[in-house]
Amino acid sequence: MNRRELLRRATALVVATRLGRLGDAFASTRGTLDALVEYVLADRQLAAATTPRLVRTLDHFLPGPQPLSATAAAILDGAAAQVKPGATFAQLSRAQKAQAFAQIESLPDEAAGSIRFLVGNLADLTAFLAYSTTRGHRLARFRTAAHGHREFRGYWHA
Amino acid sequence: MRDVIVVGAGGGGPVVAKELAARGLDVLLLEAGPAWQDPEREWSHDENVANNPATGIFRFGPGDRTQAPWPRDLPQNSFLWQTAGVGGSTLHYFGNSPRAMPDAFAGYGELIPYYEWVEHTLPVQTAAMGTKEELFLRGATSAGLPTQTSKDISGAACRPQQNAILQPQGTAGRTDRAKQLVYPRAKGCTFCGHCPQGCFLPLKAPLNLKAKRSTHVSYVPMALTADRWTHGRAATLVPDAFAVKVGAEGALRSVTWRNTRSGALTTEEAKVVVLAGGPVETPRLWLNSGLPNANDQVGRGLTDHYLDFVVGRFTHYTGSGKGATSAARADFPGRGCIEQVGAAPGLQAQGLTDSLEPGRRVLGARLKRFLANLDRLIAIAVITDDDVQPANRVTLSQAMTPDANGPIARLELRSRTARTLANRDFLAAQAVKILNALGAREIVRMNWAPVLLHLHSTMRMGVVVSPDWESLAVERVFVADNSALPNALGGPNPTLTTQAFATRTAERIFVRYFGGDPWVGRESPVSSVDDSVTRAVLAAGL
Repeated sequence: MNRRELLRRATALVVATRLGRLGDAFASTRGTLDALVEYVLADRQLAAATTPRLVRTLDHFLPGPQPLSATAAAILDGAAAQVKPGATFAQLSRAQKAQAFAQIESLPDEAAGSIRFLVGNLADLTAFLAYSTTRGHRLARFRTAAHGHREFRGYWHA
Repeated sequence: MRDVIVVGAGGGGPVVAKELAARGLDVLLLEAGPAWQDPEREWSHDENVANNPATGIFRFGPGDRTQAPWPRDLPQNSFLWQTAGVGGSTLHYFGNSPRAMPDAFAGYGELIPYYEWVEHTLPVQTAAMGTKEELFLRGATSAGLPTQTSKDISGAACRPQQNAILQPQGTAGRTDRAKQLVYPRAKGCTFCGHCPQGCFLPLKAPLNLKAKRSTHVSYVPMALTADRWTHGRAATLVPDAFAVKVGAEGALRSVTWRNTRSGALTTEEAKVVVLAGGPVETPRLWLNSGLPNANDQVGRGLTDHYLDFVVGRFTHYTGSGKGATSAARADFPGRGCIEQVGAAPGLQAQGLTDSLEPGRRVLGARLKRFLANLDRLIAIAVITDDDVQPANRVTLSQAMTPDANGPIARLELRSRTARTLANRDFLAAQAVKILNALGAREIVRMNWAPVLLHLHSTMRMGVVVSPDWESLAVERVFVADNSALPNALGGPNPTLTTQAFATRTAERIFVRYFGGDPWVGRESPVSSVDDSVTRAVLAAGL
């Protein structure tokens, strides 16, 4: 069994009630990841620059016929349906999105180790990718290309 | 047949390679990742270009970055940050080089000459102050901590870091004008704020005079030019060489590696083999090679300092995005350490959004508020003195398909002792105390999911390897990376200690298997920034 198969099976645990609609879930990847990115960043312009990076990163991390980004989206949507029956992740309120993450985090290790690894890293990966962009640096007032700063203040004396 | 084959050109392997090449041995140094031809052109301050886990220059994967990174099986919420390439994790490390807690293992006193040897060779220097570290130390002093003034930790205290970073000279740290920041007008750290993206500054400096002392600019160039700066024999470096099997037939040792670009397999024999692929890959290679594991201890006992992150937001300037990533720390014997961390926005954002508790993540408008001005933050990393637990381990994955290099590593973190958890809470409370003393407007403690930067003790000294770091099961096979550490060292960052042990291991190899004499304590070390090394590096075209 490869990682993708493991993830697929683990995903099934989370989205058990939606297995028959897995194809639909994958089709909504972009919308779900847009919602994730917006949830993490709360900045539309920053989010627009980040979702494509997130998809590229996930899919290159584990290339294959079924993109890892789609798996991630399916897991989020599966958890969303547990929080609010019939809803996708994008349709949840901020508080409900937090509940969806908590639900995944509380899954038992043995059953969903790979899910916990993947989803556990989604928010911080999103934030890393976002604040590495030009827009992110502008928001943080950070000069990317600087080869040095006038910041040397001497040596510490107690 | 080679005298010695070293597997892995990260923090520890190049130390053995340099020391033994300097003694005239025929040393082959293998590295799974790429070699760097021209870091000024190849590397980037851009965090995504450098450290994207899937596509970044410093990811853990083959040199051909159109290929996927190498997979690991992590069955829990955790983030494993490794680097492939000459220099290994010292490419992205902060250069922090404290000694271990003196009571962390038996024989600390005997290791001191080896610490001194490495500290001179890298070299390790007392960190200069920018605003953020000055503030940290002021806060620590206000919180009641004295200043530690010796390299050996003697009690709870704060201090500037001992860093493997050349401190600023000339225009370095005194200007932000790029044209002024070219060697030799600028020497040492220019306060650029990009340590984790690899250090290629000052521009135009010879390779061995770059500010941050990754092994890529210190030990590796010395190994490759050992015939020039001393009367040794130049080591041979083979990059893109993923070791897949270690052989042990009679007195003969061998290593088989796979070229990650062509797929070709090569085997070479040696009198001695040194494993230095790190605490994940070394036990993986051991197990994949079918070497003895009679007591089932290979891979067990992983420690990771159970890192945590505490961040304060201020209304005044802190200079968080400038200067060495970490230049100040506080040590608490029996508990662990804390250190100030000033990362660029991407890593800072990553640190603020990672948590074992989803509700603790700093998200949305709050994240924007924290990152509205990077230079108004002070972040503190918690580095816990965590206990060895047999259930925390590296083993071979049964769940995932082997990759081209064989069955892959599975890293399980299943158990924390009450002492580990209490230490982590204690240290986080100290960090909060310092931030409060400085008048932080808002403070968050993240309770990170395991961020696996400091990994140790998967081939433990006294259990899997001897005090000389030779395998207890297979003679002439040594280990020279963090995996051979007996534990988490009481909290201090591990690289310097591993490099000190690796120096001793090199000496023991030379004495035991090549009939030589020891040298530490009898000779004077040559610094990697010595003029003789610079001349050798330039003459060799490195």
